[in-house]
Amino acid sequence: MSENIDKQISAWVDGELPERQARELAQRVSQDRHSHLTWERYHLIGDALRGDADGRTAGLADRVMAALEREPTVLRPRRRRRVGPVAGLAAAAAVAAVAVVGVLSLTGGGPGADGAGPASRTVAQVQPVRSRSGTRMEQAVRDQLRVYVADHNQQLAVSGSNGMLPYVRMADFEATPRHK
Amino acid sequence: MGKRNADRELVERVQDGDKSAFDLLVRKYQGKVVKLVSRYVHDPSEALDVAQEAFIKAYRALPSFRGDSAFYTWLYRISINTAKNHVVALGRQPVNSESEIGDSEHFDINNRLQEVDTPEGMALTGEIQDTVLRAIEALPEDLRTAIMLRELEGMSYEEISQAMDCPVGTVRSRLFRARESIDNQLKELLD
Repeated sequence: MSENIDKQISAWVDGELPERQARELAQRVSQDRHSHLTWERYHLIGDALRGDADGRTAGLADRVMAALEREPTVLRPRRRRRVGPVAGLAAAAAVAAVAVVGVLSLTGGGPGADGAGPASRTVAQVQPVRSRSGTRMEQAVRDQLRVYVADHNQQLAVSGSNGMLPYVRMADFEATPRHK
Repeated sequence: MGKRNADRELVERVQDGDKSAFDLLVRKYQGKVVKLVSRYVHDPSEALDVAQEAFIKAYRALPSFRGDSAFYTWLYRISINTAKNHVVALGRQPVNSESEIGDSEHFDINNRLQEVDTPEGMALTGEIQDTVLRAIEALPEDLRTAIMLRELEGMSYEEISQAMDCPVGTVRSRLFRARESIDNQLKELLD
């Protein structure tokens, strides 16, 4: 029994114990002084071979642990649950939806502005929207958005995805004459 | 299933409230930490006190250790800072060692040039090394080769199995039998 544990400690010292066995061994030797001393000497053998052994450390671990008796037990903060791929997609979809709403609000309308849902509209059915503002700043923002949406759609074309294209009022980004 | 880094397993256990797991980390790294601290704190008994303080600081800080670096690299920084603060608190000028800004794995070479030891400490260190070397010389060839490849060359079990043309399970057994044999000699010395 003890030999079997010592054999596992030997592999653990080398970092060659499978994860599950390492976890079980750590649990098993937790309060076992014999195993702790075996672990220490197995490391000491390697240190001595490499010329790193140090005779001054005898008793240091016991001193440290005695001092820690008076210390409160440390606990790490609770781990946050990892975000899985489905949750990641959901987050990406939410960001995309916010982006669409933002773009539409800047261009003066939304998919439901006239009461029709996005599924009932296509790009071909959308009427051009005239610019309502003529300030330089808004024009600059609009130009940036045009470039952004063009780039975005180019990426979608490359990736073969339809993305948000059916829901975006593309007509607004075409050159629209200011004055008829 | 993948291999489990022992430090990581132990750190997580400490973070989950198992204080005794920290004892294994101390026993593994006490030699390195004492040597490191001795570069700044030349009095041997003071160096042991500072090493102890460094381990206690590390224990207190462990909840914030996220594993972005290796545990020893993190412990190395704590030990250096503790030693330097100790020197400053005594009104001395901390030694400005170029290796302290270097890789923590490479401090030992400079360390051997600067460390100060007591006659008793040097005697025991020498005895430990002599005992281990004598025990290794007495090992059968296959056990001796396995332990040398592992400890001096840092080979993995897989690499040793290829070098020695034997299964990984045999490598594991040879390393254990080698350590067991050397350990019997060491126990007599240290007990």
